[in-house]
Amino acid sequence: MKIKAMDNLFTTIINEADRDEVLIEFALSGGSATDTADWISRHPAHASDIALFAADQWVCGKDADALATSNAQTAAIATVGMDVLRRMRPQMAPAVAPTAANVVVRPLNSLLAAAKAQGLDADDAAALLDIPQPLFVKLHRRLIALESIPRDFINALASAVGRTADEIAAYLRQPPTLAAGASFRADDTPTVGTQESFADALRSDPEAMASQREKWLN
Amino acid sequence: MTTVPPMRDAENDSENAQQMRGNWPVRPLTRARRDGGAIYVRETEVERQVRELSALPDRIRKERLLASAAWGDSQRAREETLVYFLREYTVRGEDGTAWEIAEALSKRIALHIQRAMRRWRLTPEDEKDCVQDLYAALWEALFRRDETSEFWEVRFWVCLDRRLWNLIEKRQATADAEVRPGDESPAMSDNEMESGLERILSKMSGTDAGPEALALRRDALKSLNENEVRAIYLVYIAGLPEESEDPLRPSAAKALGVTGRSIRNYLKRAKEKLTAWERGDN
Repeated sequence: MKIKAMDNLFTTIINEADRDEVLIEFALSGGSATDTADWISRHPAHASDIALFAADQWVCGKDADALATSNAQTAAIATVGMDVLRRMRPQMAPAVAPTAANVVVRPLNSLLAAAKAQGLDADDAAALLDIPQPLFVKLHRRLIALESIPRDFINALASAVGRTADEIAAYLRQPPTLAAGASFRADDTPTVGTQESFADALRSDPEAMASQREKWLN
Repeated sequence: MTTVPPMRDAENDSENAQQMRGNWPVRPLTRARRDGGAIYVRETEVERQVRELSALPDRIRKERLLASAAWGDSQRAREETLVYFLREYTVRGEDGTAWEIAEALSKRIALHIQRAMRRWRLTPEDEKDCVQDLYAALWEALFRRDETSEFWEVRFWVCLDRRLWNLIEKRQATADAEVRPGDESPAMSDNEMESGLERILSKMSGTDAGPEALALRRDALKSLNENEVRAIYLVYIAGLPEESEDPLRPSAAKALGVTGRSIRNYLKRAKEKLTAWERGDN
């Protein structure tokens, strides 16, 4: 059974290579509309691939990627890609661990500022991470206990704001911050929020969707 | 006379020293073309980038590879170049740099995927599945070290798009299902639509269209779904018949793996949408 599975795998790889080859040859030939019919008749088994490629080129032109714009959704797609790679080749992925003596960490002073540097506001960053916005703000204010945050989320947060996992961990390890707009009048005592666990914060957030809880708490 | 190679001395190891300074030997492609047996070659610009970057000191090579140059900038490393060096750094055990190159590729692909997804009608769940499967196929191919994976260094986007379309098609929603006879209620006669369509397509046909024609084409076609676009292209631009009983004669129906009736339905809906676009209704 193992031999048959390997045979199937090799067949799949060879078939995929055949499909790549025909399409690349078509692309190298210039792939004009008048060629399409000719190529389809010569390679009927690859007619669909040729048709899709030719139609795509006709619609978009060769320089279509110049028109693409970067936004939170694009960043989310890229994050998915790196998560897939991390699962497939965990030995390649940067480790998430407490700061080692030989690791150089750039100070991170504000999660919101880091997000802004990536062109994201709090809503964008939360959408990218698939968490409710109030939770992102709590993370920014360090109201979530570091040890309660899943490693996958730390990595996703690091990727979203363009920092390393070590920098995120170092930031979140610091004491909670004061709320924005806290008053320092003499008769008021400025207070900081108390920390809670990531799971409790996500469960209790009325803006959290069931899919978000499912994703991060399982 | 047999020459005995000198003992390796770590400090004077010219190969190691060269690798630290740069001067990585350029790995040639090995996959041969089926027609004449010639070996596939990388595009001229890709080959130039690979040679130039291979000769640089490692620190500068990394900076150049990972620099976020804008699209169209001559300093921007081509995707085929990134694939080449992703493999080279992986073979050399430099996982950290390989990871960074993979990240750069992942971001570029994300832009492309986002644009492609806009043209389809997938559910958010199907979109997510497509993205994950595409990246899995990509990384599996890029880290595989055999000649079948060399195509990614020859034409990266062709290889990626083929897999993307294949994944999307499998998940295509029934929104593209055939129009049942009872549902058809054309607003105008077939003759009126046919002449209108010819007029519309004459404005935007041609595979070497300039920027203005391309923009017009995209604007006209944005309301069509993928099957409608393909049907229009195959029948009116590539000149294929809608269907053919001759097994040796290609047709739009055979190319898309559907019936002639489906092709006619795609064309009918496409014509209605394009006519509405020309009138300014869209």
